[in-house]
Amino acid sequence: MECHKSLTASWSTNRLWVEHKSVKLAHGNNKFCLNCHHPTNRNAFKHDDGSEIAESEVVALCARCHGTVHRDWKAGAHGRPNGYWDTSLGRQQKLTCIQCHDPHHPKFPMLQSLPAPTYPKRAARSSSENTQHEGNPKH
Amino acid sequence: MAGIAGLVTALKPLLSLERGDISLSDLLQKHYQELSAEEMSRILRKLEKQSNEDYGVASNINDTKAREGVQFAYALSLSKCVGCRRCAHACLAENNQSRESEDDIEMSYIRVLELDKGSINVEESDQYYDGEVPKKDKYYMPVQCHQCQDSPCTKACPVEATWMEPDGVVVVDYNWCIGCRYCMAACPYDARRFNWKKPSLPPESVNPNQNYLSNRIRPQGVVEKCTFCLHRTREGKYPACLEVCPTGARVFGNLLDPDSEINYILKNKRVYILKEDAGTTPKFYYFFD
Repeated sequence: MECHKSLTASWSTNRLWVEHKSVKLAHGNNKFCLNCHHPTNRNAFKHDDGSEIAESEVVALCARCHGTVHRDWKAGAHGRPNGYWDTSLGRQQKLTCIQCHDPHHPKFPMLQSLPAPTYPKRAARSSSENTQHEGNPKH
Repeated sequence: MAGIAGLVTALKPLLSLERGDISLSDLLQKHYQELSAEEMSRILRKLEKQSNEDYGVASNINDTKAREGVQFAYALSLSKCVGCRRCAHACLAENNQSRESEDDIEMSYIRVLELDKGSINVEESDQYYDGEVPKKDKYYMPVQCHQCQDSPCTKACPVEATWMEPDGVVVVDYNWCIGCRYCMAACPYDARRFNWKKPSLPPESVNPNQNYLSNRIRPQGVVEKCTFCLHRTREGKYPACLEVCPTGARVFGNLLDPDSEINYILKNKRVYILKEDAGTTPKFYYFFD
């Protein structure tokens, strides 16, 4: 926690052999810790001008590169909203970037798809499909 | 001969009256739009009692009305959807669809189509893919009711058992539907489902929060469809399919609110309307981002 107060974090990632070994950075061109993390305050991120961004304001950090996504997010069109669409009836909760995306590895892993429900067959389907997955209406 | 057969068929409802399957008040129930508040309340209590007897769950069936100044619309990002089918399963659970026995047709209102990248030919899509998603060189397109503004299904209905509500949701009065399935033939999106049998549901699978026009357990022999979860959305909540989406591909909101998320999508994104040439003016949009 206090390490980087006395020992300035270096731009090179050599130290990763000793510390932060669990971090496998795969965030596009973003290859250095200090691109995002503040060099002396471990609990803060870094603005373009070197000033601190509080952890709770992480959106401002991501917006440095992902401007168009940030614009969509502000409008409520990126990221799943939770709660109420009508905020006069209930609270709407908006998640911040890192609640869904892993900043060290932003690419999502593959998902196991849930099994396909049995759909009723439709008269207009091609004949091959009708024989493979026939709906079975029992009266 | 045909005349006699026709007469017998026409009198069939009276036979079920004789057997005690339905009461005289069921038989003489008015159209939904003509029901007074007291009549509706009586019908709802009766349906609750019936549902309790049949499924062993104390359901709460309401008749939530459309609100002023609200037109619902839905948008779905084809760039984000990964085809995990969580929406289709959430739909089953929310809308009390039959899903107990092996041979049940699980009538999820959502079909997720798997298509080749670079193609948009739904005829060649696969709705029975499985395994890990998203697959290489594929994209996914969930299809459900598009709540068309110029809806062919409501025009096809010979008894006006289906219509568009003031908030733009196309609904079915399950007590009024005669099960002719003309609406299903008319729908360009294959969005309607027919109850071939009485739904089988174990008590723990029943969603007790129900509405007359949406997710109450349907009787046998009627058509049903997606209602944008009106029992939820008319109370300000999101549809069940949106709430479970792990990718945030789904956007829902009020078209009449200029600051809503849905209006932002329509103004700023490349929007695609499935089968636009059918001319039905859907309120369900696909977009890319």
